[in-house]
Amino acid sequence: MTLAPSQWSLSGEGRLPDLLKAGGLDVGQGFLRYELWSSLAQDDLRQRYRRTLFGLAWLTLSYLVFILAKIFIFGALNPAPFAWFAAYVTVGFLIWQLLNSFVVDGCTSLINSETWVKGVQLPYSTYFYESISRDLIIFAYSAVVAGLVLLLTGYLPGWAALSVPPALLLIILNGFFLHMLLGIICLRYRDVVQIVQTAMRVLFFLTPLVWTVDQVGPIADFLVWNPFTYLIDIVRAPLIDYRIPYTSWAVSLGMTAGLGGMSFLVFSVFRRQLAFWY
Amino acid sequence: MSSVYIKDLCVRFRVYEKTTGAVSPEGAGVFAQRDRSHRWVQALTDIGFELGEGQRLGIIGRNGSGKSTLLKVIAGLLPATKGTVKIDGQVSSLIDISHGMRIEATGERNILLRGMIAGLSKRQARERINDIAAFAELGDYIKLPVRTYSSGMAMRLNFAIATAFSPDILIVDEWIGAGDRAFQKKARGRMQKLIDASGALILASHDLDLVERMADRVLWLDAGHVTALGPAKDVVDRYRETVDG
Repeated sequence: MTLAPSQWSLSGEGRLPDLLKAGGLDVGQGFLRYELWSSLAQDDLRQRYRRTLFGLAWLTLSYLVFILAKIFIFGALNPAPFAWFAAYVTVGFLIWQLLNSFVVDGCTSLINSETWVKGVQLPYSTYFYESISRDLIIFAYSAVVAGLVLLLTGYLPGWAALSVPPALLLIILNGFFLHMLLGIICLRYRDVVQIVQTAMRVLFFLTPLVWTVDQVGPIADFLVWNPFTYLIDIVRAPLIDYRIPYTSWAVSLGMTAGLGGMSFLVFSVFRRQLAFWY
Repeated sequence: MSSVYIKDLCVRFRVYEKTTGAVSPEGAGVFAQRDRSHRWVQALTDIGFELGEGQRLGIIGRNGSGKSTLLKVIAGLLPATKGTVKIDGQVSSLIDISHGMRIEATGERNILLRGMIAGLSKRQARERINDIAAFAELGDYIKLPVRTYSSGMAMRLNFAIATAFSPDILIVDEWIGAGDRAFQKKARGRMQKLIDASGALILASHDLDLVERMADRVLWLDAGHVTALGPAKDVVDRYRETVDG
């Protein structure tokens, strides 16, 4: 059963301003269904961990084990002080995991919503919000570990940490744009899902997460081209180096604006065709 | 206020498979192509009709003639390739009533989620749980995951949820019923009540007697074109003659 909005009309030939307006409405109306998408996101995760003893606490537990292994293996190879390196890996990885889930789930959010798109009249952005809130719940459970590690290593938040919430908001905004752009492209060209997943696996090694910039010598110059470096830096630097990385902020803001414009355009223009692409 | 206005509506489905020289089944949408890389099935061509408050439209035609596609466009599930679609009023479609059922969630949770999908707030949906559960006659099973239900019980729950909210414009693809003999009678009564409460009805069906009984006008589709649009009895009679020879 579906209730469509009470008044709507559409005409086959859409002019760009109309398309953009409809795209904006979709994004806005989708957000207003927050009770729905947050419930769906919770149900998705509960289903994934149903009948397990620890339930969603598995997310915390597995991140803890994973991060401990990383700290001890790569810490041994790194000349930096152990406590600092532990905090560096934990925070960096936390943000990487969030960004990675935004990219990977962004690719599949529309593909996996096939029966929904065909069956109920919801704003398409509802599926993006659902996917993003699912990623954020996972993030929250992992963040507990990061908080714990920062506490144990003595990295208590200073003034610079006030820039972390806006940095996270910027990352979430990027997550939304990635969902819009990749969701549409991957629905039409399914190979892109595989391409992106492969690229992310490679990018993991090309991002300063388990190694530090001063360790790698001339390779560091290439990091300028890795967008993830900046987004991770704006969260990690205030927490472990007690400074706000202004350059990374400037690059991050610029990238977000560019990505935002591009993804909104792609979403608005192709939104109406996407029901045909399953 | 409920009205549907449709003019010059065309819908095509892009086809990515090779279709040169392909022949479509009789009465169904035909293959067409502009060049080698741009092929489609023409599902609907130049459809137009108006439906006002209190009116009931029946849609008939052979398999593949475009009935469901037309319903989906009106329900807002498919975009028009060309033409104008104006809808005034809340549209509710009973096209696939099992849609959105989560078998791992309890019956109660499903009522809540699907109420929200239908546009209710969480609180409004919660208030409806009891009467929907009562209609589905599931007793305390409503607190168990849907995966534990018999298929008949799951269908009853589906039906109870799908028919719980009366809209301005009701879209029905084939008459739906559910459950055992006793429940079927109850279901018929509920469907009738839902139709009476809605402002306008669009019903697609192969049951010609039903269409004649429920609709005042009938649209006859063939290969995506309107063959006839007029008073229910006239159009159904003509259709019968053609089909039965």
